[in-house]
Amino acid sequence: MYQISSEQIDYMLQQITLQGISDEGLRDSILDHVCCLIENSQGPIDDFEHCFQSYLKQFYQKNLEEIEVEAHLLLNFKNYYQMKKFMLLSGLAGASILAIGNLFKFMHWPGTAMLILLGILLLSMVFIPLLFFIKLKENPVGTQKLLLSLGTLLAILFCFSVLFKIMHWPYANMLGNISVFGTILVFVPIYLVNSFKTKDQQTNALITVILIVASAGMLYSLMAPRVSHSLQEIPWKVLQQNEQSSQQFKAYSSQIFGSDSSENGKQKLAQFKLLSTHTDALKNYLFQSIVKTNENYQVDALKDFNPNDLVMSSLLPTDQSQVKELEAFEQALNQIYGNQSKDVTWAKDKLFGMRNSDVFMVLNDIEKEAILHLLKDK
Amino acid sequence: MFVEVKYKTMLYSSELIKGTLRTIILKLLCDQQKMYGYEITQTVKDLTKGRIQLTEGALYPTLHAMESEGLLTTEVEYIGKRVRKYYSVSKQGKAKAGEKINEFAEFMETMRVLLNLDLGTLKVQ
Repeated sequence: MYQISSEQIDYMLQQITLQGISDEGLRDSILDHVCCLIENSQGPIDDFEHCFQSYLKQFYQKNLEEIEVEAHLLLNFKNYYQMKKFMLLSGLAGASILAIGNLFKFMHWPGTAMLILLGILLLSMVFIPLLFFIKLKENPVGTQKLLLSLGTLLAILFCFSVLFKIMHWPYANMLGNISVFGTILVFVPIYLVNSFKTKDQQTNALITVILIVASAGMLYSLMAPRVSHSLQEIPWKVLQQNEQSSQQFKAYSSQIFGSDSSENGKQKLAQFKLLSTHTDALKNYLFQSIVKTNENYQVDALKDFNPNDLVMSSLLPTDQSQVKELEAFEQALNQIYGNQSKDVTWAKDKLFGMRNSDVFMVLNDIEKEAILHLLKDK
Repeated sequence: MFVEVKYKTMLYSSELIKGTLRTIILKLLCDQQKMYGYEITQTVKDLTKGRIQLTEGALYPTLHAMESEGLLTTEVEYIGKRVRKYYSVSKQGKAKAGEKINEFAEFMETMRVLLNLDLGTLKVQ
């Protein structure tokens, strides 16, 4: 049996380390194995180094480092294939479901919201995190690790901003702006600096950056800017003028009815007052639900109110007290028209679902027409 | 590249025996109490009359992984400056060995039926 000297052990250990085995346990195992092979080799050994290298070559196909890489993969990539497969499947499913959801949206088919929600959640909560973990296991170094983490975070933020936007949840725009500006102002510069370190990556990096910036630019081109203040004021100004003329008209009409002391005149004055009371009650009701106050209707108080809140009608057919108030208004109209007018049912049908600012004006119009009807024979 | 088990075989293709390395190691260590790497390769070579030769490049990463998974326990012996690592099966490894051998036996039985082979009755210890 060949006797291996202490110097030869040192030499072999050094060679094994130089050839890429840094793990101590693995290094010792390889050393012991080669020693056993040498000790049990048939025939005399003239050139120890040559003999050692030829035995060591049995251990690998390309280089010795393969063993350490393989050990690392076995330890850390136990579920690598399943994870990778699941990542690809979740990405494919997420993107497809999102696309189908959008098709449903444009076709006005039911289930759109569920499909879009599921698609975005699959992409943001399953696909992107899995992609992150898989890429992380490929041992990115320094800046690459930072880019990977930052990119993942920004991508998830962007998905969430879209989700928040379509669900009408708060902070959607803020999330979107953070993700887009974060990408352009933080991610892109780091990515460029990192990519320009290696020459052959420069063109690809530039193309990627152009695509990112162009996509962000196109995204923002699609967005409508905030309505300017002068435009915001238009509905309020129209409403204010309408209200002023209505008040003036009612004041003149009140004088005319008050000057007639006949029975017919008194009856018309009573009908006028009843209608006016119910119109005001309806307007108060609407005003209070918009401004959320107990005060009576004042058109000036709507000035600083968000015009978007004036768009959706606060008159709801499901609110029984509102329906009762409307019915009382209709009865007052019935008394004036003597149950002859189509306008009476028209009022109720039209007022539901109308813009709030329009409801005020339509109420004024209906009231004005009814008063004119009372004034016909004056 | 990942988890590819490499065998040098004289008669069997590596594809045919791929995935059995862990079963072989567990069974050998269950029978022999404790063994070191070189001993495992030699025993497999002797038992199979040289028809299966485990490569070091596949053996050591697998032993390393099985140790970290708790299937194997190790003890070291110093031979001068050399360190020899002896592997033995843990309690968890013993259970896994039975499981793996039964699984393989069932697989062979299924293949026998599938390929209509007359191999005799398979016996599992």
